[in-house]
Amino acid sequence: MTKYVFTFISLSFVLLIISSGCERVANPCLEPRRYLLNLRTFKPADTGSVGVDSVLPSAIVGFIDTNILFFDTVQSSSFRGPLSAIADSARWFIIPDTSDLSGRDTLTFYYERKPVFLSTACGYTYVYALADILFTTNRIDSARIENAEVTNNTEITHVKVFY
Amino acid sequence: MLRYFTSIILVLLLSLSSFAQEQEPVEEEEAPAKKTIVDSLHQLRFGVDISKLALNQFIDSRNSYEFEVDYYHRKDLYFVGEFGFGNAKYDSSYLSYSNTNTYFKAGINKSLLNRISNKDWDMAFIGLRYGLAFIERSDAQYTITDSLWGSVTNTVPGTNFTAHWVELTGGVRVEVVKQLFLGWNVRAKFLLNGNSFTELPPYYITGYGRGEKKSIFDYNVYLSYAIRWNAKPKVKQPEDDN
Repeated sequence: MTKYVFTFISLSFVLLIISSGCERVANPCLEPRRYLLNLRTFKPADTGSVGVDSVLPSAIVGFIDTNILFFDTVQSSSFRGPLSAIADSARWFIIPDTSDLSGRDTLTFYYERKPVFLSTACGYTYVYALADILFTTNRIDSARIENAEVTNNTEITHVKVFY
Repeated sequence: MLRYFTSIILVLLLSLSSFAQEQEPVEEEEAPAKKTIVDSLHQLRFGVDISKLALNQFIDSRNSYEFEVDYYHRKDLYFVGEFGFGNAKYDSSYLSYSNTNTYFKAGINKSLLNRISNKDWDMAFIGLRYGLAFIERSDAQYTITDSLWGSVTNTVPGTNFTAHWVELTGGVRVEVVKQLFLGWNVRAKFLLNGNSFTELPPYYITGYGRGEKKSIFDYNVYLSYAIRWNAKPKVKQPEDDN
């Protein structure tokens, strides 16, 4: 019987220590807490849903009124950037080619913010429901919302911009 | 985490195995007496989970009080009722809220060991439970941080939940002094209505565990006191069987 009691007490102690230790381990947030808008550029002749990429030769993309750039002198046709968590609109600028700064255009996204629960560790974040898009036409031909819901799905193109 | 619980279950199985092996010689020695203990003794046992009481002192974020009552039916079968209450709070830079709950469980335990005498109440067992908890979650404040534009803080209104789950359990009870038991359970719990908690689940449900987990392992360490009555066991002589 003494052996059983000793075993019991030892096991209980181990369980207690493990449990206490597990509780004290930090509970990290391991998923993205910010969802980004995917924008792709296409050639203006595109009228279909697939389109033909228009690779910008040396693009700069960023927030207007700030010095924040998402892309700086990048050759690409795909750009990901943030919307605002504190306002229902956000303004980006796009310069397709750094050698021609007059080609700077402005894109204004209007959207609705919807809080979604991620996890206890991560708390909440916003998904965005795009409602409208306005743009200047220095180089841009047109732009349209392709998928309105900006979520954690990184594969979806939300906005198509035609050059 | 999984590794810890796997280890615990292995230790439990080894412990039960060794416990059973220790009992076997006694059964063999008593076999020549050819007496069978016939249940006529009633036992009602009240237990309190002392591990939760201890953890309450170490973990600031929650308080849990868990109790157990079991009644010896017959043929190594116990009816079990459990109840408890507690509260928990979660406070981080992203999220802050609290919850309180009460719970009830009902089920059975089946002892894996044959009693070697009418005074033998030690047991190693497996069991099943059905659990039901009534939970009240407070208003929750969340903050969405935006490194560029600043942070937004909002409130999610409080609400009430009901959670129910099933458990597989196993453990031991050892009578360390007359009528006083020490014992432990390990439990695998499976939440039956976890989908209703997708929108900010209760942080910790006393009796179940973390509210955002649909299955969870847990344990209890019980200090129990037993009362017994009708303490005259009927002893069948082998010739009675013929």
